[in-house]
Amino acid sequence: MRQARELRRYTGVVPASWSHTLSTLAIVWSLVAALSAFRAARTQPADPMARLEAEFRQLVLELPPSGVVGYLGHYVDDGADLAVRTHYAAQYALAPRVIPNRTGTEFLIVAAGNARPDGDPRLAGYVQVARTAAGHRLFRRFPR
Amino acid sequence: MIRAIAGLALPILAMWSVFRAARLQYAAHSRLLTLALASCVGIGASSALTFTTLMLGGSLDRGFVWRDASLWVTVAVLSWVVGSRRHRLPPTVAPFPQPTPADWGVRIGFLCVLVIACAVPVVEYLTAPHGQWDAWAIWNQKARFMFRAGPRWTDSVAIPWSQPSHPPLVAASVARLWAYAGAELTAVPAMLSGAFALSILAVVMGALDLRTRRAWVAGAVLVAPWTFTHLAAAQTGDLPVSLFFIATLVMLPMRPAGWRKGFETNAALWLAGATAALAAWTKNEGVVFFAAVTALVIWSSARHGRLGDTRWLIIGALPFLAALAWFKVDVVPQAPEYFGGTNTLTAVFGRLLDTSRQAEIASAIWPLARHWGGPAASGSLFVIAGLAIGMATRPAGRVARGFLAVAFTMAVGYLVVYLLTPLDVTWLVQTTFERLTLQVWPILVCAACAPAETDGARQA
Repeated sequence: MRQARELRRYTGVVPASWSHTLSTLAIVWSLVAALSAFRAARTQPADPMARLEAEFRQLVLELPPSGVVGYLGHYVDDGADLAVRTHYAAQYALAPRVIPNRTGTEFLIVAAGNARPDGDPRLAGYVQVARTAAGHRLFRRFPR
Repeated sequence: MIRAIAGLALPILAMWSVFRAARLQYAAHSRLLTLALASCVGIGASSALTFTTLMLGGSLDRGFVWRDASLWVTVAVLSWVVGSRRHRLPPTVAPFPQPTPADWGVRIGFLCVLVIACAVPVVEYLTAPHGQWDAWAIWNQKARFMFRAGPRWTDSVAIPWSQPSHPPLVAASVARLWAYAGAELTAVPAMLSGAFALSILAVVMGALDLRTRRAWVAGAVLVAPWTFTHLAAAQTGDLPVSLFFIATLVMLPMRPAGWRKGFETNAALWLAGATAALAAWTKNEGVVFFAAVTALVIWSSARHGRLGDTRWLIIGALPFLAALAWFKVDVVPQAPEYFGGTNTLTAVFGRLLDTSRQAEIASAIWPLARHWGGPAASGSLFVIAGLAIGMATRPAGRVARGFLAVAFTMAVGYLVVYLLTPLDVTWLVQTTFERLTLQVWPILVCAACAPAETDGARQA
């Protein structure tokens, strides 16, 4: 008896009855956790990336195949989650072009709602060359 | 999609065949573990070849697909022929008692958990086919650069949020499978992510021996938390790096004698070296892991007077370390962005010893750790970590001790990054803690369920 207890202490092996109970508990907990995970997954909101990506892809034909294309940040809160996501979506959709959040480039993407509605001074010198159904616009600055 | 599946299967089958020819399969005691290891090395090697193609000015076009497929078919056929000619070793299957009704109950319970767990990524894929934030901001975006721009994929390093310093295993694998498919199917990175998740499950269950009840329990506990299945749907780099972590640890010869039956230590070290280097080839955290594993192997080998064995670890790691060096020198020579402003010792120690920063990190981590795992799994991290520590403190808990030593080193590495980063540390903890912990979750589960080494086994 003492030897068995010693071996158990050394090996960490639990008695058979405990082993059954622990296994059952672990499996039941796993089932509950997995079911909760499934419910949580079902309540996830739809990701807007597929929509945003499709919207920005409409500008592909107007853009050069590679290089740097500017992006006009949101005129008020450029760090907001939606503003950042929209910028990243433009980059994701239009790769392998590199789309930094700045003006001064030949081409400039203006996502819907990013420019000041009453005229944005950051667009001075640019001409609109394309507009998608979702309201995203492409501007171009032609050499003088 | 069928061509993408073929593209995924080819290097795995080729590596399986190579393992058979080189008798590396005897390093693992189960076919499931061998298959999982073949997946690790196959996916890793194919990503390194894709990277090499791009760096040499090639594109991922039809020609690439033909060359790549021909290479893997040739490797598979040649190694199969060589393997068939070699003398086969007798199978070394130790006798094991027949499963009891209780064992069957556990197995059925596991299957139910697995079915539900598999449904989670499917449901999430339907709502987010492009994966989670990091997938389209980092990993799949890099893959698009590779697939669309060929050798000009390096333009992507100019995108600051794309974490350019992370190595390209995931992106190159996705781009390669897109090349096979001939289109940028969103199902491809989702499938790859699922393959990584299933491989983790296979490694854990195969290592714990499918004939034992603990393997089935560990499998259920591993996949049940939402964090696991949510990240299986994420299409990011955390699941693959987690796979390479656990695949390395189960191959180290610190395993109990019962796990070593019929295997050659050198082969196991070779495989451990390959998978540890693949971790470094996947994410920057993998470099810390590789260093920790190398230190563990050197320490363990020196204790047994077999320091020379370490060379097998290095030989296995070399091809992937070479690819990593090429990437770090030629593509992204600068330090990761989260180490910005730490170029002097004063700055480093100033941040490390900043008590307000430490308190901020602790207060950010505590609620996340408590609720890690998702709904109905709160506290699971503490329970499993407690069990693993309990196993490690037993005199015969050598396996758990080795596993925990590496997990602890990784945790310290993450903490150091939190302390050193110039970024908003609360934001960084909140956006990374869950997935960094997932990287060591299979290690904790495996350590908690690892078999103890009895006197008899130790002598064997």
